[in-house]
Order: sequence, then C-alpha cells, then structure tokens
Amino acid sequence: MSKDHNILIKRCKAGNEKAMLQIYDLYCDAMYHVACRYLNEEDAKDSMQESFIKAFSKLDSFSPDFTFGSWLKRIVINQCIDHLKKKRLEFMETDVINLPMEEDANDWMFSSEISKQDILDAIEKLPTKHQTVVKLYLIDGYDHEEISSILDIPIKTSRTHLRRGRLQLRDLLKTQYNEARY
Amino acid sequence: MKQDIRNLFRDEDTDPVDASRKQLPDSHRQDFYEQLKASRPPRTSKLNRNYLIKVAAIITMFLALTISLFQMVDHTSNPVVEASSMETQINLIEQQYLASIDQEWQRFITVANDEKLVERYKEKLDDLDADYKEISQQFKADTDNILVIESLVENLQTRLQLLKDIQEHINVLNQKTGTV
Repeated sequence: MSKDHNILIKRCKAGNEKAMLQIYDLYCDAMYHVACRYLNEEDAKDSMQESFIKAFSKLDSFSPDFTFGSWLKRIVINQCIDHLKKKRLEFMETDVINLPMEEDANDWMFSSEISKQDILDAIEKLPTKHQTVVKLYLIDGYDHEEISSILDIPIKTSRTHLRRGRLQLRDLLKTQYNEARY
Repeated sequence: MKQDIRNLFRDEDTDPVDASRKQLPDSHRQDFYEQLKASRPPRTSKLNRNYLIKVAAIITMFLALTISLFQMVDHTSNPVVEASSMETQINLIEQQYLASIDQEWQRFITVANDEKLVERYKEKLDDLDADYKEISQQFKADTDNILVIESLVENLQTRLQLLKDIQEHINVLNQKTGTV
C-alpha cells in the first residue's frame, strides 16, 4: 500500500469526508464488480455503498495486516450475503447430509477450451446456495474456513456445497462444450 | 489440454476493468455522498457537543479553583477559621468529657448493687445526652454563640458531676453500713 493511501485512510479515520470520497472513487468500481456477482445491479449498488458507509464507521477495526482492498471486499461480501439472507435464502444443507466423499476431492481441471466467460455463465445457472459457495471459493478466493464464517454455516456444509456446485459446473460445461462442438 | 480454472480467477480483483463489467449508474457518486452525509451529522454534532462540554468543564474548574484559592488565602485572617478551630477545640473538650463520663459510669455500675438505681441514672444520663444532641445542632448552626457553647459544656459537666455525686453517696452509705 502506498504512503498516500495510508495518509488517505488516516484522514478517513479522523472523519474527513473528502478523503472518504476519494477512497470511494478508488474502490467503488472494483467493489461494485464484486457485489454484482452476488446481487442484481441495483441491489449491488446499494449494498456496495452501504458497505463503504459501514467500513468508514468501523475503520478503527481495520488492521494493516490486510490490504485495505481485501478488508473492504470482505465487508462488501458480508453485506451482499446479508442481503441474500434477508431474501430468506437458505445456505444450510437440509436434504443431503452425508454424501460419500469422492476421490476427485478438489479437481478443478477443466478443458482449456473453456473460457472464463463460459465458466461465469455456467455458474449463474447453478442453484443459488451452490452458486454462492462456488463464487466465494473460485472467484473471490476464500477458503472453506472463511466461507463458513461469511455464510455462517459449518465447514462441512461449505465443502458439500462446493463439491456439488463443481460437479454441476462440470456437467453444464460438458454439455455446452459438446453442443458447441456438434 | 486441461487447465485449472481457479487460475483464471486468481487475479480477478486486480484485473483491469474489462468491457464485461457492469458500469455504475452516473448518479452513484451523488447518491453515495448523500448517504455519507446522512450517516455523519450525529458524529459531527457529537464532536461539537463534546467541545462545548469541555469548555464548560474548564470554566467550572477554573471557577472552583479561584474560589477555593480565594478561601485558602483568606483563611489566615478570617473569623471563619477561628470558628472552625473553636469547633475542633469543642470537639476535643467533648471527647475528654465523654471519656471521663464513660469511665465514671463504668465505676458506678461496679459499685452500685441496686438495679433500680442504675436504671434511674441511666435514664437521667440519656435525657442529658438527648439535650446535648439538640444543643450540638444549635452549635453547628451558630458556632459563634457563646451561650450555646457554655450550655454544651455545662451539660457535660452536669453528667460528670451527677455520676461523681452518686458514687460519693454510695461510698458514704457503704462506710456507714461498714461501721455499723
């Protein structure tokens, strides 16, 4: 993090609104992009802005161990998940509790002909509870421990969602790939 | 060929803004500024209030200090001091008297073998004590009144004298019965 950036954050801590707006300008596009993964455009914008307000109000709890961006991103994601939860989205696994663990425990090798956009499109087709975990893991790069704390679910459930999501993703991309081919 | 699709997203957050990204509506900045403003006023007014409280505290502190300083400087020549030293003197006298009264009382109890007599004297002393408390209240209200102080001392003296007298009387009686 640059020196200017640190000074900017210090000013925000002191309650300087100009500095807050500068931070907003720096990060709003990236944070909006993150929020759009989880919510529709309007909700994403609202959640993103609320996250900034929240972040400024608890700036004291920001420790320089993280980069400011990743700290902010976590707040944005939490805000988005809260929003999803308000819509009574259930993240807990209720139907299948114990699927036998398969051998391909963490196989993310896909055909190299598949593009990033294909994957993003396929993820959108997943059921929401699997979709959220896949996004948190694959795109936002959180591990199961972090996902379990973000979604407030047991680590085991997070693993199950991810595995099911990944298997569904593989199916979706296989048919798509085959359809495109033939 | 296979690829680990996780690598595709590794640099997701640092990627330059690509065309596929959704654009924020034009008014977003104004929106945010309004939200920020709305979330801030209580804080700024709180700051102002804090500031006011601080100023008020400093003024009261200053006033209190000057008053107490003024009093301390005045102390040496002020009759108030004399009165308060008078008060401590009275307290001292009172304590001495009370100690000797207590002493005489203990002696009286050991000498007297008549329960009724002891009871009667206890009543007398309690009455005097009640009077004494009343006069002390007056003394507190008006420390300068010499009459009040005199009646205080008189009260104590009466109690002491009462005890001494009865003991003497008992002694005389004892001696009489002894000689008879």
